[in-house]
Amino acid sequence: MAVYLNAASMVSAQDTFGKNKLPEVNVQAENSCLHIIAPEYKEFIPVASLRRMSRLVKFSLAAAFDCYSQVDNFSPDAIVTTTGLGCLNDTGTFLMQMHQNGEKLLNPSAFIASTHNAVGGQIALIKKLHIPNFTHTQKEASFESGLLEALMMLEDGEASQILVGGFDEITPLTIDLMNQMGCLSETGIEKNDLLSSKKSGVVVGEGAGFFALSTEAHASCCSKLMGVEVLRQATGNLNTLANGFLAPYNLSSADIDLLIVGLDGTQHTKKLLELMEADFQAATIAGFKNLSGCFNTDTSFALWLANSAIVNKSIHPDCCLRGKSDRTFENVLIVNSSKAYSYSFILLERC
Amino acid sequence: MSRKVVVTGLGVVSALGMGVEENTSALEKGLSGIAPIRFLKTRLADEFVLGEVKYSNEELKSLLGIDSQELVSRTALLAFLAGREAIRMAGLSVEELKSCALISGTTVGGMDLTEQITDFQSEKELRKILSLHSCGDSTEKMALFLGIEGFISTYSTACSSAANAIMMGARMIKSGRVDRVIAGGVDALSCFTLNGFNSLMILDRNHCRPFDRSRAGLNLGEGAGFIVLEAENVARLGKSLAFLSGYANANDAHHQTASSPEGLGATFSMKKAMEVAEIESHDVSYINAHGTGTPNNDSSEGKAIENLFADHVPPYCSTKSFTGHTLGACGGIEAVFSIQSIVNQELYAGLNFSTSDEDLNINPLIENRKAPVNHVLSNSFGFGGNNSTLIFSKI
Repeated sequence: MAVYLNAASMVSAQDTFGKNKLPEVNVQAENSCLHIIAPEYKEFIPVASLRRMSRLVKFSLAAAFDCYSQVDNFSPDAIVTTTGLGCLNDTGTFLMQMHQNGEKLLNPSAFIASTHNAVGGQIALIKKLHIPNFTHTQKEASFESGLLEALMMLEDGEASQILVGGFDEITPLTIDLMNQMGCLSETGIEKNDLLSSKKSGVVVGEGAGFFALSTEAHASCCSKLMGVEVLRQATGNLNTLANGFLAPYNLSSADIDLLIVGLDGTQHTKKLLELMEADFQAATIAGFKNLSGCFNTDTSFALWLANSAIVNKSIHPDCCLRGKSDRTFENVLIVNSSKAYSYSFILLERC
Repeated sequence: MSRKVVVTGLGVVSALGMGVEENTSALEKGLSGIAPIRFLKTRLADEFVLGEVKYSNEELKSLLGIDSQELVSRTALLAFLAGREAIRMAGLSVEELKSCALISGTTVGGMDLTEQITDFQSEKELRKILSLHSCGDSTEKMALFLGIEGFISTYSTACSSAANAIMMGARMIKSGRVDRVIAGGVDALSCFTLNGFNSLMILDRNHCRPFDRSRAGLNLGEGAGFIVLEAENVARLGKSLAFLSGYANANDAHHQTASSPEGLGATFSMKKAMEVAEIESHDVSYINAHGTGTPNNDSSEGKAIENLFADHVPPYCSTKSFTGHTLGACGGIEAVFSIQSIVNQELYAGLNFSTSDEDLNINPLIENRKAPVNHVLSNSFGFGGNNSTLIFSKI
């Protein structure tokens, strides 16, 4: 059974929202941060609700509802949201209030908004959806976990259309803390820095990516989501592992024409370079963390980019690390790695 | 493709004690674990009662053989204990554990440590504490502790987290992706949640009274409940305790924190779960209700039960009158209680009920009794209108 990616919407540091293609000129990081370009929220969210919503909830809902509107009469059977750290700003606000007020006379707003499922709950509330509504949070594998659940629900017939999203935010406190701990790159990270792996820290990012998955293809649909896997404690050669992931789909590394890798410019993701040195010789290879910044659910940006490359038969030069940037992409593989797990794979196929 | 899912192991830590035996014994004797605050360091210590696990972090570490100096969140410690008990009961081998998946539900993660930082600039253990903060970290640490190398994930859908985690576990087995899953949930008490619920004004200063007319709010609790799920075809003979036969999640889509008066989400989740289990309302032997003790939840859930079951309302009760509301863990802890009810063929009653609700024509079970228990329905409802129902059935 095929799972079609009928719509994709991405709020990110780049001008991706409402588009299916990266813009000509991309934003570079300032102070090692890539903040999102805020959508015009009131076009997507009832004005009465906007006032009480945090920035993360607002930009995530904008992506969710934009995705919604791309599919005619979209009627999902389930909502799966994913986030590494949830509504961090509200969590911080409530904690601060608690300490400052000595655990007295606290305003519940930040507490209510701090729950990880605040975005999923708001989607249900605003759209009056009584359907299943799940929220995964598993550090850098959060988005992949949610995708896997969505795939299983579609395969099992529990649902035929699902809205899946991933989102995380930068807060002033997180930047402070990352700085204090030396986790931020001292300078911006450009495409070529991804390959050199010499940066001492990362460029931190934020964003929200939402996707409409379905067992039936929408008229404008270009790609199928074939599979997702997270390997937690994998040892051995990465090319072998990648081929192992591809085998059930009757594919091998030679069939992949676009490989999107989660290089972040530091030595932590250096092992992904193995892929470029051996098996994937025919593939165009692209990075994305120089444009999205690093955040727990940044593979949602990679999935948006993969779909965009299939749709446009082109990958932006700012992402392209090797090979032809303009060509028809049939099979696209996203490979990410993190401190929390060894590797994750997402496979897309042109339809 | 669809395979039956059986439960082969149980593990629980709650205010009622350490392990399935102590917990069940307290349910049998009608002894609540809710008491004045002893362990949580909060300025509200004299104002509320809590369902605390009656062990300090040092004592928990010693039970687990963990160095007392090691920085581990209380959430993780509770999860280790319940997880270890569950896999021991199921008798899983080291090799089987390696390929197991682990799905946990939690709302606080390492908050019990994070909330103690008052000055980020001078905190010596900053990096370590922050690395333990995320909900996903407690699951990762649990996998490391138990020797699980397979897929892990964490649900954070407020108070239905553990029930949703168990649902995902069933889905993974049914899909054929794995043969075994450890699923459930955990939450340690924290000042963050105590103050959060206090600011919402839904805490009762006295013992909570689920479904009683005088109920005035919930008592918070803590703990962990995990169960081992296996595909029926791989489970060891004689180890199966119950089937996980039905599950569903539905959204109330009414309000961020409050339930709809008619319990729409609750009705949908119970109804769908019975469809999945292929049973009728008169087949349900017992309902372990969400029953937090807040006026809103119990009236909404009560209405849903009354409407849905009509002439066949089964005995129902809330064991939160024993454990307090353990938030992200309650779906796991109450799954263990529900399965124990099947194993022991006994219905456990709730505590502190004396007067019927004026809006309801049904009353909860108030005395334990032996009875044929074939199907137990367990409800867990969370903020964001997140309603989940699990159904466990006799083998």
